[in-house]
Amino acid sequence: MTVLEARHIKKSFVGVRALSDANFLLHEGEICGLVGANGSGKTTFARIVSGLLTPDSGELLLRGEKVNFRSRLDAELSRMAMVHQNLSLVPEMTIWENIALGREQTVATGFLDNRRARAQAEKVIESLGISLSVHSRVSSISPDEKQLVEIAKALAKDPRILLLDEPTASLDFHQVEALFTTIRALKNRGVAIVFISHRMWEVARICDRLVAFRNGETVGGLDFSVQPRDESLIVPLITGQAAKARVRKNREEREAQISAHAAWGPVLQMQGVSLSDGSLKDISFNLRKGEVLGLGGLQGQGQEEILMILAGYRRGHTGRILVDGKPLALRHTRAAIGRGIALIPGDRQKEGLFLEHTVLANLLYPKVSMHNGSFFLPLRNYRALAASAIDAVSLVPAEPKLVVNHLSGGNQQKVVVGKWLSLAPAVLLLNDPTKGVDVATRENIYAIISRLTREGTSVILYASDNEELIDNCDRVLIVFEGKIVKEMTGAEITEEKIVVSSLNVTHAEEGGHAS
Amino acid sequence: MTASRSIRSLTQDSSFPSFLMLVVLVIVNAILQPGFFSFQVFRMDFMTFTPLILVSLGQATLLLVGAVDLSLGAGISLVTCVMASLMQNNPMSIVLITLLGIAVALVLSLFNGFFIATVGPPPLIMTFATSVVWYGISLVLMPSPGGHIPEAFYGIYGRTLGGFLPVPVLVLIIALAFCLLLGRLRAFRHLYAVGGSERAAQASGINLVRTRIFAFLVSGIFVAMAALCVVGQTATGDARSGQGFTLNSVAAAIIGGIAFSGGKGNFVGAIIGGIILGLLINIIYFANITSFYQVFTKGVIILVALLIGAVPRLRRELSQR
Amino acid sequence: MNNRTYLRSAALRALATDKLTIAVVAIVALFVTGEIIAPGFLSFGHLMSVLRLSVFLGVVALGQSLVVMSGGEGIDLSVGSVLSLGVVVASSFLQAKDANIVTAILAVIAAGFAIGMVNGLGISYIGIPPLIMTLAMASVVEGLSLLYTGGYPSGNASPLLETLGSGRVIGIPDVLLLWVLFIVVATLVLFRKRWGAILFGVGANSVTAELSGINVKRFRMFVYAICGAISAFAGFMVLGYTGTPYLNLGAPYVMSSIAAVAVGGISLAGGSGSYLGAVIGCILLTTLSSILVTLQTTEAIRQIVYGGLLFVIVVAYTRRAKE
Repeated sequence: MTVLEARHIKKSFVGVRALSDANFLLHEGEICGLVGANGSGKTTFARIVSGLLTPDSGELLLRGEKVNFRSRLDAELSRMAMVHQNLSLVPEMTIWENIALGREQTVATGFLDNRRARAQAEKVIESLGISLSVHSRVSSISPDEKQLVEIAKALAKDPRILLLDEPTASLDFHQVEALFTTIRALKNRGVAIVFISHRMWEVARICDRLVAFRNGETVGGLDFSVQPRDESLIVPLITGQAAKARVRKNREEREAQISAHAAWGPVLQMQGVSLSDGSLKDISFNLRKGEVLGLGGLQGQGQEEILMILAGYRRGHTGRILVDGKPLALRHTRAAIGRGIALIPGDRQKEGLFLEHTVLANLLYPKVSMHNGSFFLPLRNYRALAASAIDAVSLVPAEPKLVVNHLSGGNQQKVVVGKWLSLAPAVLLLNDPTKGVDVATRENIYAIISRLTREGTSVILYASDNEELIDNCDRVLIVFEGKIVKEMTGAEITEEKIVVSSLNVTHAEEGGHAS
Repeated sequence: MTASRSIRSLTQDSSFPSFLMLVVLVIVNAILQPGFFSFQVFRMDFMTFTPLILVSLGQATLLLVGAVDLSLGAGISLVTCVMASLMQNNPMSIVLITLLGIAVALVLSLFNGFFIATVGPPPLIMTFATSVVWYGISLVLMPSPGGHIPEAFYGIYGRTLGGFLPVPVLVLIIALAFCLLLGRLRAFRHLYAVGGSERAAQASGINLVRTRIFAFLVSGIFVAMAALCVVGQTATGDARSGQGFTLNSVAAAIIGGIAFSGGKGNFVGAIIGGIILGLLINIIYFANITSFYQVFTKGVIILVALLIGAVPRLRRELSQR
Repeated sequence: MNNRTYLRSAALRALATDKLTIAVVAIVALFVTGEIIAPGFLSFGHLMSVLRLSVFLGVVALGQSLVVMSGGEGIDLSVGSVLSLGVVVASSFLQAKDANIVTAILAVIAAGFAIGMVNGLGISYIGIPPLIMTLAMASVVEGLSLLYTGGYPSGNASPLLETLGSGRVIGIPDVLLLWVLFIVVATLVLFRKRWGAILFGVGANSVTAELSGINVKRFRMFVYAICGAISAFAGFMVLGYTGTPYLNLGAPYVMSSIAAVAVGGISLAGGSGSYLGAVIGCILLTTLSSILVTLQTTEAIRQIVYGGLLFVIVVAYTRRAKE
């Protein structure tokens, strides 16, 4: 039975046409994927369906009846729930308070029924297979746990239609598996699910069907009951180009490049670095010039801490850090940047950008920060630098006066990367640079990284997506509970090996659940 | 297991540092002021403390939702002027004008709340503007302090019920009961959400406008109670009587652990903060500091109090770096 | 329509509804009203008097602007008492002698800078909310003034200072020329120097700024220190105008400076704005007060009108922002 149907939905914002012709069909008890590049209109469409936005024109039918959602509450009444891309949790409130937020139930006297809310929260958290106390404050749990609470919040509404917008962005494959189990269980109960994601392999695995958006319109779809679950079929729908043969790194060429720089000696060395709270224990590794070193493993095992320490943002560590053979006291980010170490942070909006400032202002800030010399800022010089940065990252639109907030997520990330280009960093630290970013931008960013490494920049890359590690790294270090448990080079880097090491399956008692 | 968890959560509660401070101040007061623990002094103290605590509760409610109201003091002054210029000696008048006073307090608060909730100007400046207007209106009604409040009204405030319960304390108990009631309301939970993360609250379907106006309504109720106490205590209409309350209420709430950014803290903290401030004022008086330096000392002590309050957070931050 | 045309028309639209344009229009309207009520209001001499009064508020508003722009809910409620302290420190160092001018200026700036540092330390390093910290400091500084003078401010402005303070050059008050200099310097620093660019970033997003190599805590602390120095210097200028020192001369400047900043389109969240906006805000507020005085109303009516108009301005401005 068709549960949801969208016909020719149009939606524009100030000067931006988000949707020009969106069409969609969803049946009871099916998981339908929604894919498309950033700016293709997926999220706008999802927000229209869930009632957060009203379309300019077009029809939305719910179980055959025309709908006009005026507010979110209407969407709730039709038993629809959406899991957001940007979290909707109140940090200072507990998990159970957040799960009940907005739908608090009362007892006869009109007061809050906290007991029932707590019980319900416990039940839904348990059903997701995570062990969290519902009394914990949201501010104290990790990002992946926050995402799971977000999902729990939607599930607690007992919806008949569930919209998941990038639900796995912060989750490792372990947690993704658990989530998929829950989703399949819901499907068997007849719930209709929309699965929006950039992770092609997940979409190919879990969805029954998928619909592709491009430039604000529906351009096609796949039906996995008749077509093979092959990611390479999806990409052309999104990009509109013939499937590009996956360019795997030419390992010999890469090794040759790195050997050419070998005389330089290690660019960066960490020796016995530990943090007092135990999140890092005795980390030691070398980074060679021109190499891409990956940090893999489950979420929150210390990878981010390593990057933050090298960037000079996190202090108080023991052990030594050497740059070009000389010990460096990283007391502040300034010291790191001064030695050519630049960090692309994990949350571009909160850590990487000035949202209300222009592209120009954003791109030039690190340069201005390190400026030392002329009395006034050399504006003409700087404008030229910004122009070349815009060019280097293929920013769309290539307009320096645009306010960054108006750019799509992918282009925002390009600005975050681009602002370091003018400083020619010796070491580039990347904290999950393509999280929530579309395929085209992802390729773009890695092309830039590839060019930089050819010119001699060294890269440390932390990616939550194993495919990225496989495709781009020369070496991968797997981190588990603050320790480096495995080092892989070249052809050794495979999905299976990464997964096995991430779980640190060395003892039989672990159970060996590799995937 | 639950016992240790509740003890731990108690010590980590945002109002715990201020509770410690309270204990210290009580001790200091007891040393400085003879007969501190006598009933007489206890009663006198609460006559002064009660209005401040009530205003602090009102301010705390607003801070929780992410707003602030700098016109609370001027509002109280205006209510005293209204009541003192209209009240007559007969019971009908007393009742009616009391109700009018409450109504005025509510209207003033809701006026601010309406604009802040719907149009959304920065609360700091907007309430400063309205405080100037309230002050002007007070001056129109009462160019110099005066007016008339019948003994039948102000006498109530000084009375002790049943020989052991001073009326101001009774008022506080009523306020406390009111707080407990509020805590069980859905709208109150929404206050924390809106103050903690507006985006999250909106995404959860919470009506921002309604929640904010609710906060101002609650604040108005506390201010109304405080105004009645001030009238009962001073029996005059004075355009300047409320001046100290505004900034004291903010300081009291912050000392009591209410986060200025919103969404964090609780009423207990605000009450403790109000008492702390009252005790501070007491100390300054009894330590024989000349009126000259009273303002100075109060400022220094508030700074010290804030420093102490910041210690747990600082310790946490330092251990992370 | 391509991006450039879109941006240009958007810029024109923004200019029309821009807060500053409205403020300028409001100033003109007020002056016209003033002329209608009291002919001669628009005379050059009177205009200059009003502008001269704006200068002192304008200087205080400069410090306030910087603090607000630095973000973190930056605000400085101690500017008034620091100004007052500046007055008494200046007069006690001057002792009505021109020879002491340099020492007096240095002492005043040093005092203001030190107080601002304390503010900055508490706010940046200890984490006390700016509103509370500067509020408490206001009381402390007020007490410091009393301590310093024993209740009876000593000394007097020196002759040169008095001439500069109340004198004119081709009809234009000297202090107004000084203010123009301040405006030029401030605008240059904000938009052409590294410090200004850093300030905007720190105010917009402190984490991003920190990751770009800025020591945000130290930077913000110095912003408060600079504000203190500027406020104290404003006191020095006020002494030139009054000649004799009085206590608490700075009290009316606190809220007016914040109002001027808000009216001037500087976001209270930080990271944007321009001192020029605050300048226009100062002129608007001073003109308003001036009209009220001209009307010879009672203090009560003056308060109601001033507060009411401020209310309307504040509410109207946010309405624009929402659109």
